[in-house]
Amino acid sequence: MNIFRKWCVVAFLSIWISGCDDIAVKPQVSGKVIKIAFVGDGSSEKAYKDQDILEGILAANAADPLLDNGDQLEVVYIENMGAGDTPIRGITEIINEHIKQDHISAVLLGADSKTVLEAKQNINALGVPTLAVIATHPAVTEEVYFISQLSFDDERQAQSAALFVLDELALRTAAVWFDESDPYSSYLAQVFRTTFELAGGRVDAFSIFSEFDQTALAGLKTRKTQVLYIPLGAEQVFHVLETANELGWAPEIMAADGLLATVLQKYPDRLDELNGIYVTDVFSHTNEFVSVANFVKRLADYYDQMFSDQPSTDTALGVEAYQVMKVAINRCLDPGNGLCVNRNIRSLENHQGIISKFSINADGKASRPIFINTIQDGQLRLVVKVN
Amino acid sequence: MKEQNIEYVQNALFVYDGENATRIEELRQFKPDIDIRAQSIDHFLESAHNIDPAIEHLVVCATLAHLKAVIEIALQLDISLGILPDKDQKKLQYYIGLPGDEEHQVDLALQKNQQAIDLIRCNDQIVLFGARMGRVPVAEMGEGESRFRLFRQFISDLRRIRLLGFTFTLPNQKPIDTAASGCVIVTHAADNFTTRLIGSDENEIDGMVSLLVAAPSSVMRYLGFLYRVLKGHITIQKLPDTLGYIKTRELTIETSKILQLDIDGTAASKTPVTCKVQPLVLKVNRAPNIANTAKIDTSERIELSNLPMGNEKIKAMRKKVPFFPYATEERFKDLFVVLRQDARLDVSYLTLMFLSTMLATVGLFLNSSSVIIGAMLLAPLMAPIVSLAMGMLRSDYDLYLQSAKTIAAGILIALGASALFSYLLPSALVTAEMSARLNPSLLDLAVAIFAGIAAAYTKSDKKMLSGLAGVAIAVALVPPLSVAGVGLGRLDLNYFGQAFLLFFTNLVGIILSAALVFRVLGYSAAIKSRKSFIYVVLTLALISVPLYLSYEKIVENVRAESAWKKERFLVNGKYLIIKQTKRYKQGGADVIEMEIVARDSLTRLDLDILKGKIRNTTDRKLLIRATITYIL
Repeated sequence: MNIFRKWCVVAFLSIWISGCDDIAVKPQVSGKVIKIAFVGDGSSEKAYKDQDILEGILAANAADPLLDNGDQLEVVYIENMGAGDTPIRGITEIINEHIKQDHISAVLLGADSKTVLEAKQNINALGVPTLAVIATHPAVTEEVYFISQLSFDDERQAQSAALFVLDELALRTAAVWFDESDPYSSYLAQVFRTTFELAGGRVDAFSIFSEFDQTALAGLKTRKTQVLYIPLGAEQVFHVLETANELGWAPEIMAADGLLATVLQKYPDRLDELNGIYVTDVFSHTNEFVSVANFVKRLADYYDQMFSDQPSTDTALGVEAYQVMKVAINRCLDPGNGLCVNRNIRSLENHQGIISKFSINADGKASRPIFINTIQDGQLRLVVKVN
Repeated sequence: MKEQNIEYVQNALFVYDGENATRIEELRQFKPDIDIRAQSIDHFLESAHNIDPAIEHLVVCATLAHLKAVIEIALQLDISLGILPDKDQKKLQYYIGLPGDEEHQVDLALQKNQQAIDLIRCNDQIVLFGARMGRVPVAEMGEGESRFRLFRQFISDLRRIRLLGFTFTLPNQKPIDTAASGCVIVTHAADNFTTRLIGSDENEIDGMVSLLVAAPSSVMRYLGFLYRVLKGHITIQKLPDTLGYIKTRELTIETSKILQLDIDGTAASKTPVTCKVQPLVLKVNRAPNIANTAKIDTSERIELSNLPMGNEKIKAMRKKVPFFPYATEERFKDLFVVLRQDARLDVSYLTLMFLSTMLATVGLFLNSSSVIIGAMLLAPLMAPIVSLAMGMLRSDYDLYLQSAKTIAAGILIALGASALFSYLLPSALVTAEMSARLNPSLLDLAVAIFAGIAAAYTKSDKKMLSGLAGVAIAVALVPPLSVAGVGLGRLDLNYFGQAFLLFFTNLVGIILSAALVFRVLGYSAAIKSRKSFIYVVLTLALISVPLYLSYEKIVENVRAESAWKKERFLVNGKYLIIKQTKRYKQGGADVIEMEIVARDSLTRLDLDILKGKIRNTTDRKLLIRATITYIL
């Protein structure tokens, strides 16, 4: 029995000692505060998106406020009030104002592709490292040095969607509707069409949404078009779905990123109408690829304490945006050195995000998986993950 | 009633106690022509030797103690007896063999006795219904007793039962030493379980004493006994493990601790006890139908082989009744002969080991499961492993060491033969059959444990030996050894280690589970050491660590392979679908094999990007092997 006792002691000590590896060392608080700003879209229509992203940023900041050197990161929310009519000038002026007042080291930009595309040169001219959180248009990072993207770009998004339809769903005919006033929507539609046709598919209709009506859809039904690609806003998607329903037609439907987040915020009672449609997104409700990291569990606790609503994909992007900025600032001796911070944003490699790793390349574009999901009961159910 | 065939006595004396004096009227009314006088028991006992010589018959209506006193006088005077039991004397009614009505009792009591029966005495005291020493489960349970009560009584007895030393000495025979919880002298007269059990073998005129000995040497056997009692499956021809039986003319019972002797339900004496029969001396009127004259067996019987003897007896008396049974080797002689033969290292064993290894090795290289199964069936390794388990359980070091040597020789032959074969073969092929034996896990240990259980179980009963083939296939001892040998031949220690771990897992799992099964089945030695058992358990605990880690890895691989089925890659605008993946370790590297479906042809640059993306999905360094299928 003595031998048995010795074994128990050895086993216990082994387990105990091996458990000591992960003891984290907390930095000593230096008392210095580094400020980063979050600037929303500014349009009242998308205020809900600003709110979601900001909640993610604030929760991440509350959970992890200190840099390695003990400096504290503080998030300044720039409300961008009244900039709705003149968003370009509004955003730039407000950022500039805060740079002078609060000594902002970096900016997290919640504006969509359309706003960022219009304002990007002015923002770039400010020389402050800026991370576009939700803008996915590939031109967002073109010809600018200080603006980088957190989301994948629309070219990959649309290519993935088109090839998924063709090669995985084996559907050969598609129709595309897009919002001509939104460069994001137009770009996705165009890339989808090109990719689909080049790969051997046939596009039966490529139309602006203002021309969408029941007759047009009935024509597609007659032609037995197999899939509708609709990179549109939530209201427009609902309109397409309603019209198809009226016709008693149920083609496969694919929409673009952010749809579910919008519906959850603006039309929570209409979630059921989205059941079964395909969407591309930066996240999925799955843990198949990575076990949920400890920081996510900790974040969830902070989030629950601070906010009463449910987090969306925009909230998750807010968390990741804060993390990216923190990593980049951490790597610079002087957090106020915009060039250094920007360089470190654009050299982020294999960073562990909420459910997948991602990198930000030297051209400012993010390399991250695109999740193709189906929407079911208000959740993004994973179909495939395109790396 | 056929009065014309019945002869009645002419002069009788009615002996009574208490308030039974009035029953004289019943007797006189029934047969007015018989001269019947009455006398109280006290008066009778005082004047027994001055009894009127004309009295030829006594009719007794008294307590059991008074009845026995009257019997003693009747024997001395050679007078017959009739008995009138009162309503409460149910046992006595059964002894006489009468139904409850008084008319029949009176009729029988006054009949002229035709035949005398045996009288049993224990320590010179008369035994009418039975005598008991110690605890004998359910011995006194009557017919029609509820099963629930029977079960409750059994469980209640279980807690109190202890085995003591008993020595039975029969005339002209060596004393028999055993251990038992108690014993009962059984008579034909009692209405209880023991009487029913030996009823066919016992007779009131055979001149023999019948003794039933109870020795529940383990809880398992005790419960088995309970089951058989409840099912009514017990006969004197097939006694359960817990019972012994002696039938003799005279018997002395000694116990290691003084026990009380209960005769006819009353404390009468203490051990040692001598019981003997006075054949055909008691002239008592009994119903004719209970006299079993048709079959009189006067031969002596001693059925004590089920009872603990020698070392078993020592073990049995040492402490409270153990849970599992145990036995001496003599008890299972045939099995031990086979096990000792199996443990022997001989030419046929070595030849079969060599041939099965070669067959398995060739099968592995050919990736042929049917050839490998043939090798499994041919392999003789299971037999010495089972012998080793028994040797370990019983601390039989001869059997243990002999089996261990045989197993070691088999392992060396297998490793040597397969190593030489692979060394001589130029191809370093890794077939699926080989790969399957390179990742042992806890699941393999589970297979080994169940196979060990099956092996021991089939070995314990000749009727089930055909099942050993299935066991051999299930546990497959030789193929992992062959793979380990192949690893040695290639000087790949990782390869050798993984396959040998699988073999070792099977080995330890079988030994442990087979030993446990033998223990449950009652093959455990009476006196044994626990040391070897602890060593095996410790070894099992030790090998469980790498097996657990390996199991974790398998689970991780399965999850990863499942997740990989949803992975897609977009490389330079080319959409790549992952259809199947397989992950394994080879030469210390993690290998991932994948089947990719693509529409466009892939350039070297595309493949490099793909490689980078795949490697980015994991922290481990991956060796990637891809098969590409094009969509046309």
